[in-house]
Amino acid sequence: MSAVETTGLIKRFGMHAAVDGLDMTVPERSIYGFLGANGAGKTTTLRLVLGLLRANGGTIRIFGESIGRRAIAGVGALIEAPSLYPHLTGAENLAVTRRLLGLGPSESERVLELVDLSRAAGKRVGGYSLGMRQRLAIGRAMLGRPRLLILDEPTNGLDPEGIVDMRALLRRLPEAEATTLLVSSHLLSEVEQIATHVGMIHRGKMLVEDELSRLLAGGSSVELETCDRPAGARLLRKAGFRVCDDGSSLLVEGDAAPERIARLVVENGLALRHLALRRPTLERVYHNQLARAA
Amino acid sequence: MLAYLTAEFMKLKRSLALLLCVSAPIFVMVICVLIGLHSHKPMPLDRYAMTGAAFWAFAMLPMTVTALSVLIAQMEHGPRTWDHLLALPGARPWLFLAKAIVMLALVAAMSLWLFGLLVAGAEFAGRVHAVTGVLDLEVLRATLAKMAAASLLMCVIQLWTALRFRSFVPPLVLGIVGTFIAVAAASAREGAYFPWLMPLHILSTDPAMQRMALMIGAAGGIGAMLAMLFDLSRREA
Repeated sequence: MSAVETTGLIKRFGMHAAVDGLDMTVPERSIYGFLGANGAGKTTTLRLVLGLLRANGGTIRIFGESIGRRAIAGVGALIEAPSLYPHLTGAENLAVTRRLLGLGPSESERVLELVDLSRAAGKRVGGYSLGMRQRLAIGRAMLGRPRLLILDEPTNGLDPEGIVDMRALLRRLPEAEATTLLVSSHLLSEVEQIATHVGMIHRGKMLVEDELSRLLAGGSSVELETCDRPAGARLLRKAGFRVCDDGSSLLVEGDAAPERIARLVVENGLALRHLALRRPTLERVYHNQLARAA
Repeated sequence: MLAYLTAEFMKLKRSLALLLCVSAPIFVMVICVLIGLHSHKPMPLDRYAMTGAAFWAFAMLPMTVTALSVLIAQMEHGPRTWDHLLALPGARPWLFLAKAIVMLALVAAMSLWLFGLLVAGAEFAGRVHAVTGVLDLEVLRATLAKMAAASLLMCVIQLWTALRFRSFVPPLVLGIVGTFIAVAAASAREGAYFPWLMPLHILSTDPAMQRMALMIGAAGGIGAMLAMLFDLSRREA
């Protein structure tokens, strides 16, 4: 069963379609990276999934159930900013939500430990760093062990140390809490490091959706520098490779074997200064998909 | 519902809303005692008590309700907690109903606090200055309780506006304009039905006027609250 499944989802604000026939499938127990530029429709989609906005068309199912109070009961969320009460302590902030969910006090202690804030629980949230607030908001979303955790831009505004902490937390959540993670971000490299599945949205439409490993499979390229770049390019093209000259090095595209390229270059009397295998990045996949959509 | 109420009361801890509720009635008591002590004649305690009630109904209660509604609503608007609250599985009307109940409970608590302060003020005045008459506690208690009930409509209108708009400006403008019109229209015939004047009408010597103020203030307030719950629960976050 899918954790989230949307079919032909539409949301219009006036004449503008923020989400335009979106089909999305988030597999259960996955870390799903929901990618797109600012304004692509990520947050609107997540707000629709949470029932904060009403769709103009299409369907949303959470663990097979249509959107409603029962479906939402198994969902924890952090949308955009960590919205907490600054005059209350970390523990009191959790207690407010815990009471609304009808949970016992031990649940607060469990999530405080999970997000590593047990020692700061008695401090007012107004004195927390942004990273601590973000972690507390995620802890609050984890109250009651939700089956689905929706995080909208969880690394927004964090310093490098905060990003590393957040990454570590997100990585351990699916295993520790048996939860599905739906993480929206415009930071492709961040998502690449944690996601198992990826969906890319552009102007409200899904560009591509697949397992991350499948999206990144194949398409490796080899980067090399020789003493005579034009001669090297000619030689490799003659041997049937697709070669790109970027002015400082040569890029051999396609699934080329680096040892074959090295041998060919050296055997033809060209000095090889540098050779490296370049695996495809999510960023490249994303830009390729954008170019294809354009 | 109980969970929502508990959560709302928890949010008041260390809040400015609570500080306001404690301090506003103190100002009324201090002013009344100072006026009484300033007089060269002995201070009549029944007039002292009614002066306190009139100050409260005419100016301090509308202004406090304005500020209180803004502070309660900004607790959610400020840190943008609506998304979080409305994404919880509970019923949305309970959330807004709990906010309204908290607001009304605070107004009732302020009335009770004012009653205690006026009694303490009278006791203090009797020790340092000559006083005449006796403080009729029953009349003062009933007057302040009726004022709290008659202010229901004004409280709901203020809270509705404060919850509906993210900015604090609309409820603040409404409160200022409402209080200003109440001052201007207090003795006008048309002002009889103005929500901001309902608490003041409780001081009227005409029992029919008092009944009308209670009817419009309390019953109208309940009607306005139902409309508020319907409107706010249906809105997109």
